[in-house]
Amino acid sequence: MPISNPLQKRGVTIPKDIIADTPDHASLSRRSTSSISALSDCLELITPLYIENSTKGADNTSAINPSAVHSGTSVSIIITKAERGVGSYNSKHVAMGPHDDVQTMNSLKTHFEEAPYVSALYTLATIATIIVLVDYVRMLNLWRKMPPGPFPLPIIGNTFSLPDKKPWMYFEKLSQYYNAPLITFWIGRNPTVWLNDAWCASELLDKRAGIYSSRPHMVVFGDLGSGNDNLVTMKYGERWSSPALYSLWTDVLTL
Amino acid sequence: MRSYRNLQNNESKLIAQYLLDEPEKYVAHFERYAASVVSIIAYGRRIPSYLDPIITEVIAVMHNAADLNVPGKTFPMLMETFPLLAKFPNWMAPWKKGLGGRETGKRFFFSLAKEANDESPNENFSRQIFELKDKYELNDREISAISGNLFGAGSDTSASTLVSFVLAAVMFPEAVQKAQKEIDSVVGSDHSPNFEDLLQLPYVEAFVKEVFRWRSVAIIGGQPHAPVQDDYYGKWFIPKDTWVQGNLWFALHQSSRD
Repeated sequence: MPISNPLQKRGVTIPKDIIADTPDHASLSRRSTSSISALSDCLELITPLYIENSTKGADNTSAINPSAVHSGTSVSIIITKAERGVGSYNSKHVAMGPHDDVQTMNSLKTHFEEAPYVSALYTLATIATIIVLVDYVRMLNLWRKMPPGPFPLPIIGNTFSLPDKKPWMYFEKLSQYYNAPLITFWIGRNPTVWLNDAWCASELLDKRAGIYSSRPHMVVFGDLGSGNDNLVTMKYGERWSSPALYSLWTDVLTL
Repeated sequence: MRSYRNLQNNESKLIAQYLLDEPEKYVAHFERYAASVVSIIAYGRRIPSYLDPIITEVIAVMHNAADLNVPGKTFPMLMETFPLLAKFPNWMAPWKKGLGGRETGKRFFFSLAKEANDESPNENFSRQIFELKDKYELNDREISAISGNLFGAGSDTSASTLVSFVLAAVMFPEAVQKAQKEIDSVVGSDHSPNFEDLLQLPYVEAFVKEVFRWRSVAIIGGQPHAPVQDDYYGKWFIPKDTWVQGNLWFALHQSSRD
C-alpha cells in the first residue's frame, strides 16, 4: 500500500496499524461515490489520529480524558490554520490537508457529472428509507396499543415466524405465553387479531356484531378471488348492505 | 331446513350401503354424501357415484379455498404480506398461480346453476336465484357465488367432520360401543336411525357434538371478520378494518376460564 497520507508527509508519525487502515488519496477518490461515503472515509481517517494526538498532548495519561482531547485537537487545528491562513475548519481538513480536499471534491464533482443516475439512486434510497421508517413507527405505535404479541419487524412483521403447519397451535402457545385471550400477530405490515377463547369471541363477534360483521381487505381471497361478488368476502357498506341484497336474502330464505 | 331432512335421511341410508360394499373408500363415500346433499339442494341433481367428476372438481376448489384462508409464508399467501406482488399481471407473475383470473373458478358454478335452472326436473335453489335475477340485477358472478357458496359451506366441511368421526371411533372404541347399544335399544332393527329417533338418543347426540368440538372444521374460525370502526377490548386497541380471526382450536380445548 503506497503511503501518501498528508499527515505522514507533514512528518506526523502514525502507528503502522493505523496506516494500514487508512485509505490513501487515490483510493479515497475512487471510493468516493457519494459525499456520504467520502465523509465516512474522512471520519475513519481522523478518528485514530484524534486519539493519537490526544494521547500525545496529555502525556499518554488517558485517551478519553476530555481535556486531553481538547489539547490534541487544538494543536492540529493550529497547524492547518497556519498553512491555509483562513478560518472555519472542521475535522475533515485536518485529515486531508489544505489542497487534497479540493482535489477530492473536484473528482467527486466530476464523478457526479459523469453519472447523475448515482445521485438519483441515492435520493431514491433515502426516500425509501424514510418511508419504511415512518411506516415502522406506525407499526410499533399500534403494536404498543393493540393486544399483546411478538415484536414485529419492518415490512415483514412476524410473517416468517409463522409455522408451516397448524398455526392454531402456535397461536394457542402465544395466547398462553402472553396470558391474554387476544393476541396480535403481524402478517407483513398488517396486524391480525386472534381471539383465543369463547368469552372474548362472544363479546366481540356476538355482542358487538354490529361492529364486527364486516370483512377485512383480503388480497388473495378477496382482490384475486370473489371480491365484491360474494358475500363471503364483501365488506360492509357496499353492495352488502344495499336494500336490494337484504330483501334478496329474506326472499330466498322464505322461498 | 327441516324440509331437507328427508333427503339427508335417504342419503345416509345410501352411505351405509356404500360403506359396507367398499369400506376402504370411506373418505370418498363421505365426500360423495356431503356433495350430493348440497347438490340436490343447490342444483336439483343427485351425485350417485363418488366417481362423478363434479366431486373431484368441488373438493379441489374447496381445498384450495381452505388453503387460501390460512395466512402463510409461502405463495400465494405471501401476497397478503406484500400486496404489491398481487398487482402484477398473471403472465409475468408465476407466484400468483393463476389467481385473479376471476372468471375461471366462477364459470364452473355458474354453468351448474344455469343447467339446473334450464334443465333440472326438480325444484332447486339455483332456479329460485334465476327467478330473482332481474329483480335484484344479479350478475353472473353473483349468481355463481350465491349458489357455489352452498358447496363452500356444506360439502368439504361435512365430509371432513365425518372423517373426524371415524378417527374418534377408532381412538375411543368404548364410546362407540355405548352409542351402538343406545341405537340398538331405541331404534331397533326395523329401520335405520333418522332425525326423529335423535330426540331419544342423547348419548349419540353428545357423541356427535363432541366430534364437532374435538376436531372442529374451520379451525381458525373460517372467514376473518373486521370492525367497521376503531374499537377497544378492555385496554387493548383494535383499529378499523383489522383482520380479526377466531382460534377455534384453543377456544374449544380449554376446560375452564382460568
